[in-house]
Amino acid sequence: MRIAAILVAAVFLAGCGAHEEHAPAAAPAGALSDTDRAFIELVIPQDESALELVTLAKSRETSAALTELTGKIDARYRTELAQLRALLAEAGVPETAQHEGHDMPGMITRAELDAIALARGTAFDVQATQALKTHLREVLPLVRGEQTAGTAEPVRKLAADIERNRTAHLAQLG
Amino acid sequence: MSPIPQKFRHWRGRIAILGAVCVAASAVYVTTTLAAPGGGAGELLSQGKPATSSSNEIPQFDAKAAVDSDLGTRWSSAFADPQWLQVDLGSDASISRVVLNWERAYAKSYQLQTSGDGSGWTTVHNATGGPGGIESLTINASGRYVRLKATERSTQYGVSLWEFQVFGTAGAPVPTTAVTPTSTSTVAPTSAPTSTTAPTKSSTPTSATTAPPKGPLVRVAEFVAECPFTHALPDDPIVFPKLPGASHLHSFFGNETTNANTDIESLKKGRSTCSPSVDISSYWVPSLLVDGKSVEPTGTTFYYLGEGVRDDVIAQTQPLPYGLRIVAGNAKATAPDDSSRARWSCLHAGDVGSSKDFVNCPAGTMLESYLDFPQCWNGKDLDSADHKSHMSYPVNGGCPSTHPVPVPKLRQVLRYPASGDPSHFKLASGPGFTMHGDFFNAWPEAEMARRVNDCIRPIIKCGPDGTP
Repeated sequence: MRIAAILVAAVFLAGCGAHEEHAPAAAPAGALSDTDRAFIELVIPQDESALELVTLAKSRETSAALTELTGKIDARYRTELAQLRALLAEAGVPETAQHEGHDMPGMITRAELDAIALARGTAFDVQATQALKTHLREVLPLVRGEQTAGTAEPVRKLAADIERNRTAHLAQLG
Repeated sequence: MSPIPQKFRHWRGRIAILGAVCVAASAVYVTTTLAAPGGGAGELLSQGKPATSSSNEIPQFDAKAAVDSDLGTRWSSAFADPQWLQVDLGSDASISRVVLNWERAYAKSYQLQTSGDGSGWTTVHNATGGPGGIESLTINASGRYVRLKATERSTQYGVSLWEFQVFGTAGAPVPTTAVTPTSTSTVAPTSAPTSTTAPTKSSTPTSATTAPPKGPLVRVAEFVAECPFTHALPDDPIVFPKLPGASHLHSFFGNETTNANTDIESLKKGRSTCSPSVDISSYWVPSLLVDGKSVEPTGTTFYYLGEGVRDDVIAQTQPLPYGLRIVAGNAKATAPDDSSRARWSCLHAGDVGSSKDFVNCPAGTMLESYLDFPQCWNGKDLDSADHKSHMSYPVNGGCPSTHPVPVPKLRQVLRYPASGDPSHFKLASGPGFTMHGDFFNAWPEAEMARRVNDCIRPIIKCGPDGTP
C-alpha cells in the first residue's frame, strides 16, 4: 500500500512538471494547433453530411439549378475531404469523429435527411435547397475563425478557399 | 452483524454508488408530499417515524436512515437472507403506495407486510425478480406498521435502501402505550427478530415522531459549488478553441467571461456566479430548447465527490489539476442505448425513474439532468485530442494503471423549469441522449487542495465554503 501511494505521488508530481508541454511551441512542419484540429474535425462531418444530401438528390429528378449545384458540391467536397484527412495524417493526428451523432452547425442531421427524403417533386427541391443554404451559411463562422486564429498555413489557406466556395454557392442559390 | 473485515465493509460502502445519483438531490427531493400517479393521492406518512430493522451492516447504516428524508444516507443490512425493515406510522393508516428507493444492493424477492400491532403481519405485496432502482408500488392496505421483508438479495452484500416511503391517509393518532407489542408475539410465521433486537443506536426505538437530529459530521466525501447560469453562446473553448460561433448553443455557468477564446489566464481575470465565489471555473452544457426556445436551469449544483472508488483510494485523492479540461457525457451518442453517462429524471417525482433520454415529468415537478465526470487522471495532460482520453472512469473501485491519479469526481446536477411531454424538448446538440458537460478547472490551487484535504480524503461532507 505504501509503495502504491508513493507511485501515485510520483506520477502526480511528474504530471505537474508536464504543464509546460501546453505552452505554445514553435510548430514543426505539418503540426496543427488545437484550433486547426478543431476546424478540420468539424469540416469533415459537415462535408460528409452535405454529400449524403447530394447522394439523395441525385436519386431524384431535381430542378436544373439544384442539379447543377449538387454536382459542384459533389466534386468539390470529395476533394476537400481528401485534403482535410491528408492534413491530419501529415500531422500524425488521428481523426476522432467526436461530433458523430450530434447536431453541430453546418451539419445536415440524419433526422433532417430522413424528413427531406419523404418529400416529393417541388417540395423535395425546396427542402433540399433550404437545408443546403443553412449548411452553407453555418459553415462561415467556422472558416472565418480558422483564418483569424488558426496557425497552420495550409489549413488557413484551405479555410479561405472554403469561405470563397461557400459564399459563391450561397450566391448561386439566391 | 456479520464478521466482515472492516476494510471490505468500507469498500462495499464506497462502491455502492449508482443510487447515489440521488445523494445530490437530497436537499430538495424528500420533504415534498408526492401525489400517487393516476389518482389515489396520499400523503407521505413514514418519514421521521420510528424505524427498526432485522440488522444493520454497520451502525451508521441503520433503519432510521431509510426514513430520514435524506437521500445521502441509507439503511444497509447484514449480508444474509432474509432481512426486514419496518416503520411505525404512529396510528392506523390507510396505505395506497410504497416507494422503495434501492441502493445498488437491492432485493430481488421481497414482501410488503402490514400490521395493526407490530406482531401479526399480513402480506400485501409479493415481488419476485424485482428490478431494483426506484420501485413505486400501488397497494391497498391498512395498518400502523409497514414492513419490507427481503427474502432474496441481488448481490452477495446485504440489502440497502436510500429511502423507504409509505403514502396514504393517516388515521387518528393512537397513544403508543396502547399498542406496544407484548412479549407474547411468539410464533409469527415471518419470525424475523422483533424490533427490540435491532441494533439501533438509541435505546428506545418507540415514540420518536420527528427525524433524529443529524450528527455534526456526515460521512460523505463531498464539497460543492452552486453556480447559476451566466450566459449562452454558440462557443466551446475546449472543443472549438478560438472558433467563435463554430458550436451549437451552450449554456454557461460559473465564470462570467467564458467564450471561444477562453483560456486559464482569461478565466483567472473573470468573476464567477458560483457560491463559493473563489470557484472561477467554467462549466457548460448544450442549451435546452423547449419548443425551440432556450430554457435555462434554475438549479445548478456542481458536486465534487470521493465516491466511486475504495476508501483507501479516496484517501489518496489529488486535487483536480489547475487548468484541467474535461468533456463528459457521450459525444458520439447516436442512440439512447449508447454509453452515455448523462441521466434525465424528475425532481419531486423520483418514481418516474431515470433515463438517458428526456423523461415526462408530472406537472409541478422539474426536469433534471445528472452527469458524472470521470475521476481518474493520466497524470500528464490537461486535455487530449478527444477531450476525454486523458481521463478515465474508475475500474473495480480504483483508478486503472493508464490513469493512476484519483481526483474528485465532478457531478453536475441541473434542474430545469420544464415538465410534461418530452417531444417539446430538444438539446442544441440534438436529442436528450446527446447531453454532455464541459468543465474547465480554474479553482485556485490552494482552495482546491484544502477541500480535497479537509473533505474528500477524510470522507466528510462539506458545504460551499469547504467546511463541514
